[in-house]
Amino acid sequence: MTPHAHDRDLIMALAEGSLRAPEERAARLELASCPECASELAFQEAALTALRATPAVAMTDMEAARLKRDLDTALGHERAVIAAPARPPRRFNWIPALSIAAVLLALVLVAPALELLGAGGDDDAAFDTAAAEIDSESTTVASAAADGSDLGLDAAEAAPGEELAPRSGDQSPEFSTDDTDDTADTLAAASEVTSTAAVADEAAADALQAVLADVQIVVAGATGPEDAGRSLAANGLIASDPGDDRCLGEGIAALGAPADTSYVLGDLAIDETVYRLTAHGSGSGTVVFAHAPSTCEIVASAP
Amino acid sequence: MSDRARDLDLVARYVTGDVAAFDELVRAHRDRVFAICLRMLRDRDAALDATQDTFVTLFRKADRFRAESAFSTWLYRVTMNVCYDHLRRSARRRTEPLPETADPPDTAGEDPFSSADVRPDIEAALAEIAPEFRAAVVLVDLEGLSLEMASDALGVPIGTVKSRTYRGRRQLASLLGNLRPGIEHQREE
Repeated sequence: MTPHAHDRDLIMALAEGSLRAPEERAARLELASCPECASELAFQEAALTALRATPAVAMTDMEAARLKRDLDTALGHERAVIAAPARPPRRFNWIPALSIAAVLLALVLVAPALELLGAGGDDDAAFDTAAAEIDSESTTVASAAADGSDLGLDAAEAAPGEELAPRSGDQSPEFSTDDTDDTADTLAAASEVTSTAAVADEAAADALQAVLADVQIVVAGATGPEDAGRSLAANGLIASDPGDDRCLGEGIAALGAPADTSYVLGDLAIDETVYRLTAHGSGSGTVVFAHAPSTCEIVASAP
Repeated sequence: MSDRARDLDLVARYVTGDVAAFDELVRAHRDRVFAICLRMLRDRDAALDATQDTFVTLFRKADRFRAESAFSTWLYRVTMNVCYDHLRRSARRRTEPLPETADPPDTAGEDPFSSADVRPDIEAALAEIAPEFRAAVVLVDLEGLSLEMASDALGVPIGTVKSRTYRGRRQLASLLGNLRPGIEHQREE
């Protein structure tokens, strides 16, 4: 029979020798009238005797060396990212982002018109030339966005954390991926026939890198880096599990980024209560955003 | 500086980018993490793998430590979760029974135990008891954690830790057969 909880606690205390002498005498007297309790006490004492005779365990030097080697192998890349010196904070420059946005907007507005006018005469030739120029610039954005490496974004610089994979369920109802994907596909396809893409890619890469480096988050009311770090983590900004990406998911949805993009957290800098957080997509889009951690409100963003 | 204050300092330094602080955390806790893993998994290679997994998790999730409990308690909880994962994977691998001769070779020559007479019995008995009871016995009786710390590390109430420790010891004693005649054959309920 298993003793009642009261007896169990008493038996454990007796077996562990944690009672003072008068208490122990009283306990033994109490248990003397319960044969089951006496046998339970014998079990507990026997187990404790054996456990206390068990020697301590330690790693051998060889095992410690193997652990170090294996950890270095498993974390080598991530260690290098964290150990990399932080870039000095720069003032946020909207010009590159706005330039890219303007080019994209121009493409969206002008391209249909170009299609309608595609069979024209001399004036059409001028339109064609302009369209080719716009295409060559715009495709650099898409192709650069399609692959982080094309942006000149060394993974070791841009991804100190882990991949953040927003769940589709976290996205707002108005979030749509089709248009974005179509635009990206169109632009990516166009880039294959544009001879000037490589040159323009460089400029777009520089522009996007500048954007990625300069978004800031201000954590209001944080008492210091640790406190603000906790706030960021609590709101999913420096976490990686799909269940913790509330702000990330909302930010991505609000910016209309593709759902299937894999987002990599990058360039988190902590300077007392000011935080800079950047992320870029490694799939078919690139997005930079920052949140007010308590509300998920986006305080700065750039597509 | 106390161990607890040292750990808090190291974690704070690490989450703000000081990788050397992570190495110090590993050095400070590796033996105890390894000991827990070995008690839970019994096999030194598996224990070393689990220790590595624990520190990889620490490396990636240290920012989640809230300093509401001792860092070591939080780390032991990570350790226990890693051990449970290893046990689950091992159980799945055992779905195809292997012959006895397929057991891994004895590595007793490498380990630092000085009391070889005691260890095999205890290890074998620990391996036999249910993992949740084993975890409680390992933390409370072998690693010396208080009931409160074990409660945090296991994520269960203190009463549950007590109950699991009690039942774990009882199963252990039965398996060891280290009892007076007449007691060892009593049925456990």
